[in-house]
Amino acid sequence: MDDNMILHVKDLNISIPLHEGLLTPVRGVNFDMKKGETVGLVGESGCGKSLTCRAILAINEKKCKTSGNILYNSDEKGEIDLLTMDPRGKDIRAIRGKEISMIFQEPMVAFSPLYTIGNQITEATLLHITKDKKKAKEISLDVMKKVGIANAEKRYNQYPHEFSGGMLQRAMISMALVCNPKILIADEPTTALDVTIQAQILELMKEMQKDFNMGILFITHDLGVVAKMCDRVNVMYLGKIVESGTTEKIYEDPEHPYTRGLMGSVHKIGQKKTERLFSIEGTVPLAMNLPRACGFYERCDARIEGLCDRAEPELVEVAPEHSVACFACPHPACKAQRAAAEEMIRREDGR
Amino acid sequence: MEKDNILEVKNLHKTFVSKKIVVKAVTDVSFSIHPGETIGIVGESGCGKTTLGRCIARAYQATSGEVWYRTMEGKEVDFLKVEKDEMKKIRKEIQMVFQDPYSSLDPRMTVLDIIKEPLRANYKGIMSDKEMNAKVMDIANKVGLNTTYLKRYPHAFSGGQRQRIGIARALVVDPKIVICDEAVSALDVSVQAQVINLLKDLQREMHLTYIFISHDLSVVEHISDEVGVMYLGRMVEFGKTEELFARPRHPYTEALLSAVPVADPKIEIERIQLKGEIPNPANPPSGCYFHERCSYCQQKCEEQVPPLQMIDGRLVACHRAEELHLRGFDYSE
Ligand SMILES: Nc1ncnc2c1ncn2[C@@H]1O[C@H](COP(=O)(O)OP(=O)(O)OP(=O)(O)O)[C@@H](O)[C@H]1O
Ligand SMILES: Nc1ncnc2c1ncn2[C@@H]1O[C@H](COP(=O)(O)OP(=O)(O)OP(=O)(O)O)[C@@H](O)[C@H]1O
Ligand code: SF4
Ligand SMILES: [Mg+2]
Ligand SMILES: [Mg+2]
Repeated sequence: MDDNMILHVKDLNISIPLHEGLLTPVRGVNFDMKKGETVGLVGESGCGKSLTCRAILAINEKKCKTSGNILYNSDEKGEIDLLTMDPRGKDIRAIRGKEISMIFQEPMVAFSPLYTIGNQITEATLLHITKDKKKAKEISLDVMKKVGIANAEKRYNQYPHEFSGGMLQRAMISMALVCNPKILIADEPTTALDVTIQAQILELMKEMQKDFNMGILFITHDLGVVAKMCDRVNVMYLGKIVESGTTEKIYEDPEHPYTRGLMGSVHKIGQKKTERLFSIEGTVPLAMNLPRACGFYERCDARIEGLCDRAEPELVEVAPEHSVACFACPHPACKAQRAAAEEMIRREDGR
Repeated sequence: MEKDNILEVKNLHKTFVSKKIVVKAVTDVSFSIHPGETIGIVGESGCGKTTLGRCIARAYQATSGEVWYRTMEGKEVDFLKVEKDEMKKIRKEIQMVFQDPYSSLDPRMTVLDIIKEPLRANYKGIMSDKEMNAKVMDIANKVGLNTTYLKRYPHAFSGGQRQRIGIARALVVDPKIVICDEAVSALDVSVQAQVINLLKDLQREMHLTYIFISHDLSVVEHISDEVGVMYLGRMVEFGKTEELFARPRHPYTEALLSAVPVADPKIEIERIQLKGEIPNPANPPSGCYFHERCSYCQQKCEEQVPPLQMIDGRLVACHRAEELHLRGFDYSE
């Protein structure tokens, strides 16, 4: 891995055996992250974003069968493949919560209802930063204040159920940042917050990022937040990345039909009131027994019949820092992929 | 009750007491809704939106206040004081979609049973199991849940899918009023648009009234006829959606609107930075609850609580509401 890289996810596949059959919610995901960079991961609800980022920390349920590589560029140990580590072993635990930490979509998951918020944050501090209890408490209170928890001393002794949804989210963010991680995985970190606190927290994350050269993997449905936070964006659909590029590219000139639909669904305040919002027709198929076809085929307004329903486009680079997985895309690299697929189909039919 | 209202909330208070800490989560909130309309509720995290919603739905016992409701049969009742027998009949008319799709779904029940539960509670002996299943299928289809999933347990669903389960569960009993607490926040924008279109269609079809609590101001702007802005347990502004977004009259509303992230990486809107920290609801400031953070604060604001008063068809609780010219969104295009 290049020295300026911190993470490289290579051909990540996750499958889950269910009694109806094999679910394949993540199907060959590739992306990388530079040191100190913010990478966005956006896409349809249920497309596999959370599974992907939980795989990085090896915290998916045991029944989730995972393959591929998750290469992490550690300061001390150099390049390591996190997927080869024992998910319950000592090595990954030394990384989890210290070098790579995560903020979850549901704050209730991160906290045990049995202990006070303060106790739980301090526990993380004691585990990774200092053995001095008094100091650990000080550090914990400090981050709690930093993320905007008023009256932190009192809040320290309260239990999770006594916090509002938004406050709990802030408590979790403080727990994730207490060890100054190298990579922060933020899965919908501010969805539960009002926009003023959201703005504060995003600014705080950016500050911490600068101070510690922290890479952030940012998952959110709020395309306004992505525009504000991310250097690059990966767009995911049905377990695959279908487009990846700089934030500006993705917003100004999206190539993949799904990205275009997604961008078109954004409602802006002050826009002329329409009775109905634009949305992509139909629903995403279940990731089980998927045919060899583009995952977006059924819903796509640019589909090529006889091609998109018989071959699956791969992510190809169409320009530096811009990749697309679509047969209908006019770039030479995509055209080449299309020609090869057509050739393959011709050969199949000829037989 | 005024005859064109379906719900009138009057001087609602809710106080939590735990370990000697007294939190006034909702203080003296009043507003009313016409049938078939949508009221948006926005405000700072922890300002009492969920508590307000839960008190109205009687999921929490309000400390004091009244919630007048016109039942399906046309009777006017104070929903908070309805007796047990009567409650059995009308409970289903006010439903709530809960904020946290994770903890609000019982992990030991299949999705089918989760959606069916309110039917069991309200139509036991009246509806056969087969009819109930048909109704569940119907509503699952309507909210865009793949019905082949219904035999699964909630942990196997993504956040967005769980959110649809919560919506289906609330709508399955044909309620009159639905309190949606962050009901679409976990969805991607395209599915969000689908669900919002769906909520609007269902509103027309079933003549539903919504109280729509959300942090997503663009969604609130789209769906609501009127919007209430809360700060630290109080309603500080209430008015027609477009008017309020175009010209806020409370300084907190102005700050809130300025912080909306715009989905364009090239636009950088100057956000109004609120001074200081979020005040502690257990120990609110004197006078106007917002005064310590307000850049328009004068001495009067520190001393007296501004009453909620009507100014140009808008309810505002700010001493300076009449003289201030605050910035909102530009609707001119
Ligand atoms: N433990 C599990 N058992 C079975 N299926 C699962 C499990 N966890 C996730 N899935 C399925 O895998 C798919 C991907 O889930 P994931 O949580 O990664 O989605 P997501 O992209 O994070 O969605 P959202 O934006 O709604 O949070 C979903 O269809 C979900 O139903
Ligand atoms: N069961 C409870 N016991 C004690 N305090 C509570 C309880 N529920 C809520 N509170 C407190 O009441 C206040 C309002 O909480 P509420 O959940 O209504 O806020 P909210 O506006 O919905 O916030 P968010 O936007 O974060 O969801 C908060 O200070 C919270 O800590
Ligand atoms: S009453 Fe005063 S402090 Fe409160 S919002 Fe108005 S100007 Fe600001
Ligand atoms: Mg998720
Ligand atoms: Mg809430």
